[in-house]
Amino acid sequence: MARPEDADCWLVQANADLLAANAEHQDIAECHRRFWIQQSYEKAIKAYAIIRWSGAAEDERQFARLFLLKHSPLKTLASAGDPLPKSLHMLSREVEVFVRELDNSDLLLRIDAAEAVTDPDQVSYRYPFLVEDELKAPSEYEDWNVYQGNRTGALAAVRRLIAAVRDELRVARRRPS
Amino acid sequence: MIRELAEHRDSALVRISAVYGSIWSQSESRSKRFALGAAGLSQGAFHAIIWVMVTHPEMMELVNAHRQLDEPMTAAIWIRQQDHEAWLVEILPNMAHDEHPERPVAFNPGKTFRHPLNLIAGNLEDLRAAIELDQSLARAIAEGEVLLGEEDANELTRVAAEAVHGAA
Repeated sequence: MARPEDADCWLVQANADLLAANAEHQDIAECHRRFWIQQSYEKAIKAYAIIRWSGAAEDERQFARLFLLKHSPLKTLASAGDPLPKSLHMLSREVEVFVRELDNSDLLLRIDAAEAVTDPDQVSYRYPFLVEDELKAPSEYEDWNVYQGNRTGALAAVRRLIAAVRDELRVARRRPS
Repeated sequence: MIRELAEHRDSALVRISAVYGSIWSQSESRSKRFALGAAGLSQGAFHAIIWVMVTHPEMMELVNAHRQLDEPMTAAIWIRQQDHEAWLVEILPNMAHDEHPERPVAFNPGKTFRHPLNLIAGNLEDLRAAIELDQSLARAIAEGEVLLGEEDANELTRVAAEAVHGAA
């Protein structure tokens, strides 16, 4: 069962992924940085959901299946076909409210939607895809700003997100029992 | 502890401290310690009171944030205002049919909204049906405060009042 205190581990990993995205090394390509930025965002937003989540035990599995174990958690919830369990529907609203109140929220939502798709017709930071009818390796692709926004902006947005979630956790911990 | 705090909750100090609590709790001034001493409250009790009180501005802020989402919301009613947890009824017209809209979805507190939140959301039809079956919910809505959407909210409070009076 997800507990608010578990959020700390997710935030530690979010921070580590962000450091990796910003690391200096000649062999790190832009696609790798974009992947780590997305990973960092994803863990931070999941940490926030864990802090706020207080759903019924019978909804826990759905929470894990449709949110915690998904690559693009908000996008997944928004596009879930069958009627979503009410607790998850409400959770997605609360998480979206939180994201929209942050600076550069549009960028964060774009990062959320950036999946590692295997469809060659779509840009992917992990698998080859078609650019003007020619298969291209992600490491050779250069138009990442169009895909996921400016890298400096994306890093700053995710950094602020992590700080905001850390603040949420701090307050959640101070709550009298 | 909660009962003791509840006895204090209508005092002027508590009302003022609830509104300014987050600012107040950041300071460590001598006048603050004096004020707490004069009110017979320890720092711990004071902090607990701050957590206990759900304020009108906080609820309005929450409702305004919710109304800005893409999913339309036509009304919001703050119920059980004396509870130390926040209770909000929201009418979401596009919400799928729910057999039990009266069962709240609960959220832990955080920095953005510092109280446990119980959200009762549903479309107007489902909520109306739930009110007719659930006296406790009917009473809470009849006594609640409309924060958004007079038209739909008034429809709900009217049905709730009828359910309460019909049962009396």
